[in-house]
Amino acid sequence: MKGNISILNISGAFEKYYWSEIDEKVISKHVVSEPLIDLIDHIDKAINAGLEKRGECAYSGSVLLSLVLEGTGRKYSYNIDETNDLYKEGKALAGDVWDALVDGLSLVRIKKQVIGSLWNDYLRRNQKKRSGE
Amino acid sequence: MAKINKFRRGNIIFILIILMLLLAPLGISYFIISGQAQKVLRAFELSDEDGEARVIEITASQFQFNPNVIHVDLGEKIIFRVTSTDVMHGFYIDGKDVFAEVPPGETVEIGPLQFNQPGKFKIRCAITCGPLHPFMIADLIVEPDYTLFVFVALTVLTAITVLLYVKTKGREDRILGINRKVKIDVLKRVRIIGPLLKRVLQWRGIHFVLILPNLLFFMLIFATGFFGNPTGNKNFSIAVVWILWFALIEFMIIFASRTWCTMCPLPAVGEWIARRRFIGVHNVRKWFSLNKKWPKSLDNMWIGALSFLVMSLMILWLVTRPVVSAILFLILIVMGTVLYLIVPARHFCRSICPAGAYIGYHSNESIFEVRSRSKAICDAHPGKECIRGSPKGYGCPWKLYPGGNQENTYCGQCYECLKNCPLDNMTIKARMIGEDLPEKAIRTKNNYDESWMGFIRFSLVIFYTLAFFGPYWFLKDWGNMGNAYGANLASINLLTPTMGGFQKWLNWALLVSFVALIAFPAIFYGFSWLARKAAKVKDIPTKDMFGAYSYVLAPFGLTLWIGFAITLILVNWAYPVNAFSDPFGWGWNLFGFKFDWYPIFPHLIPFIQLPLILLGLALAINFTYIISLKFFNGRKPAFRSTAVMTVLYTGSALLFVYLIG
Amino acid sequence: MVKTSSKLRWEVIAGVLVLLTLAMFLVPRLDGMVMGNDTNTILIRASIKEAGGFDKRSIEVNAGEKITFDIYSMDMTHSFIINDDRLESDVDTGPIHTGEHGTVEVVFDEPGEYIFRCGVYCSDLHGAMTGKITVL
Repeated sequence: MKGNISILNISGAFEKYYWSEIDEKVISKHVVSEPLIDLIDHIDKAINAGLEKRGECAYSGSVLLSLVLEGTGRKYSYNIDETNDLYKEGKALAGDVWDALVDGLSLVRIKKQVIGSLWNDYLRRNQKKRSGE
Repeated sequence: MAKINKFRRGNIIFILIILMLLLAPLGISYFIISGQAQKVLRAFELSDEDGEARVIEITASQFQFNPNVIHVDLGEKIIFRVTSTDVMHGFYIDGKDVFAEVPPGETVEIGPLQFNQPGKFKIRCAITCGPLHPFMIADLIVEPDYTLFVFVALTVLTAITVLLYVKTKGREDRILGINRKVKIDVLKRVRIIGPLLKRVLQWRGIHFVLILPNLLFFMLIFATGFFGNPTGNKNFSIAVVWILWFALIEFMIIFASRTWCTMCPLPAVGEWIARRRFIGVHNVRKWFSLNKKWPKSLDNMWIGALSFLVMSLMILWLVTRPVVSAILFLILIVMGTVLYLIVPARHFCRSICPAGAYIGYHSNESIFEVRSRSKAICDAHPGKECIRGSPKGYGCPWKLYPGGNQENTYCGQCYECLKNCPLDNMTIKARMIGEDLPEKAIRTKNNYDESWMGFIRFSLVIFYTLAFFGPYWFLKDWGNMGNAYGANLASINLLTPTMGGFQKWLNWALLVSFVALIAFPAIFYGFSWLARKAAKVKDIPTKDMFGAYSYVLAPFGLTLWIGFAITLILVNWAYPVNAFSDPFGWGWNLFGFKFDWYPIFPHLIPFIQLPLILLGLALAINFTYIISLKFFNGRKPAFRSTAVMTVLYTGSALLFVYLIG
Repeated sequence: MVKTSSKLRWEVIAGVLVLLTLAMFLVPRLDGMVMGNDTNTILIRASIKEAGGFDKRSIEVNAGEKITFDIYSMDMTHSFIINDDRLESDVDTGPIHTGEHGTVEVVFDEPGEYIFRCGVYCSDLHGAMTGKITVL
């Protein structure tokens, strides 16, 4: 579907490397999706500045990685899988967001959609965990 | 871990042994030569005894003594009768408190002097008599010249010793007995300094903070060069750049690789404009630049090597005329800026800058490197922040893949990769001199840019030594275009070359270019061919051996340059020091000091230079052997070819020894 | 927002610092301050005639005042001499080597024009290296 942004893989990576690493007991909806929102803003800026898609989406993977590291209060990751997963998912998502923005979807709508689905995923996954205990 | 520690202890002991081996014979021979140890610091005495004294007539004129090579016998009593045919000159003999003024047109008698120490001493002009005054030098040879004899013997002995060493004990991973594969991760392993250094280098402001004072100095260089004293040694732009900076760079290469490039302000202006930031990383990664691609054919050291050669053809003007230096730096800073705005990367530094080229060429001899901790991790991480950049830093402005980098040549040490890496995989390592040289020599096939850089640098250290510290006036006169005037912007017309002056310069230019570009490479090729014959191998073309062997000129040349730098500082230290107090040469005294010019133990300089020559020779022979081992996979052919090349290296070393000893 | 380390405040400070390095071109203006502004001390910088000779070639002084001439040699050994019958004795600093100062005190009693010149051969145009003192 046009403008559909899949966050399935991202939420898997976040589950593994982001949400679980945050110290706070209660995580707000904002915190859950913060790196992604920043990433979407970054892509919007890049499109407006007239940068080319391929290089910028690859760079976006690094942006997501550094945002997640920042969000979890770390300077480095010593887990190569983590860096590679986050980089890969960031890059893929950036591509989707880029296409959606170019197709004319509004920034607000994309953000809303991403925050919504990510929050649902977060709740679903943590629900599962809780019921498993 | 314990094993590594053992290796390190072993390394230190080896280093000490080598140092002692180099220094002990020198010290002993020096004391033997000097005859009486108590006279070590006095080469000869004023003689108050009566008796026949030989009179030597010398004429002093801008900027030569005639005769320029004076032979005297040991113990002979000499009276120098010095006549100035033009302006006021001075008369100073190394290692002796002889200092005389020679007024215009007058004749001054100095002596009688008795010479108690054999060897070569320099007679120098001691009163600034014009732009080329610091190079107004004659040789005084006290015969029999045991010093030269001992120096030659030590050089040959070193060559034979190192050859015997490689024949019996030579291994691919050992340089003069030191394991070259042992590296120390400075940021992790060195206590206190390591983590501190890491924090400093990851701070985004560090680059700017290092560049700013140098930019300040450059502005002062422009101001003094254009408007200051037209006499070079009284002007900041000459004294600080061509004595202090030029000498420090050679040391910096050994200890800190391309650290000058970290703080060089020449391309910084362009970089700041293109990034639209002085310190930080812009949110939107768009270069203020034409974003052109650098042509592949120019992505090498050819232009840099040739621009160093061209700079050297002008060197006698560059180091004596402030305005010429200022113009050179202006050209470089404009070029650096403009090129950055066309291609937003450090291609100016990589391919154009003469200093960048030779610093890069020699930087493989550094004990310092910026590398990844584990190349495997870098290769497995597709993000490659070190190439592409991240919100924390820019992608490598030198267009390297820092994670997989294997040589210092093109790493400008801007530390962006250290800031970028999310895996904390980049670090600084301390290592053995020339650790990666043999691998680089083998790897680089059919690219001769760095080979010719080596020939140019090696030839030029000899020409510089001749032109700056040699007695042969005609060479200096050629390079100087027969011009007697200093110049700043106001008096630049004095530099208008005459036809005769241009012809003189053509002699110098053709001689230097011929030796550096054709003669020396041809001889080197000839020896490579002989080495190939001696090794009795068929499958390796001579040109590959020629290219690979030429890399040993990097450590060899660097040691000679360090020797040159030491001479430069010991003889002329007073000029740069005074230049800080009086940058414009207008008689200021900002800091309340002004030193008289006097060389620091100048008659001992050859004894400082010789160990460096011997070290360079030893490194060259050993590296040749390691490269040969990699080529032939057999000790016997490797040794044979090394032995052939050793003849050439020893010959070159002897030439240099002859110049200094 | 992508948090880069880019802080505008620091960029501005850095920019100002970079511009301030241009102030090095103003350093020559400090000359008067560095060398002092004593009205009875006259600083003359001497270069060979080809490069300009004495930098002050026309000087006005008052009769009867004690004038100190501070001669600074820029490029060669120069000197400063006045041979004039109106003076009690000849004025001569003696040779002043490159980078050195030489001073001499003179009292001009009679008004008129006095010629000063370099007394040490310094270049082809040495003979033309002169200047004029007008005593009022």
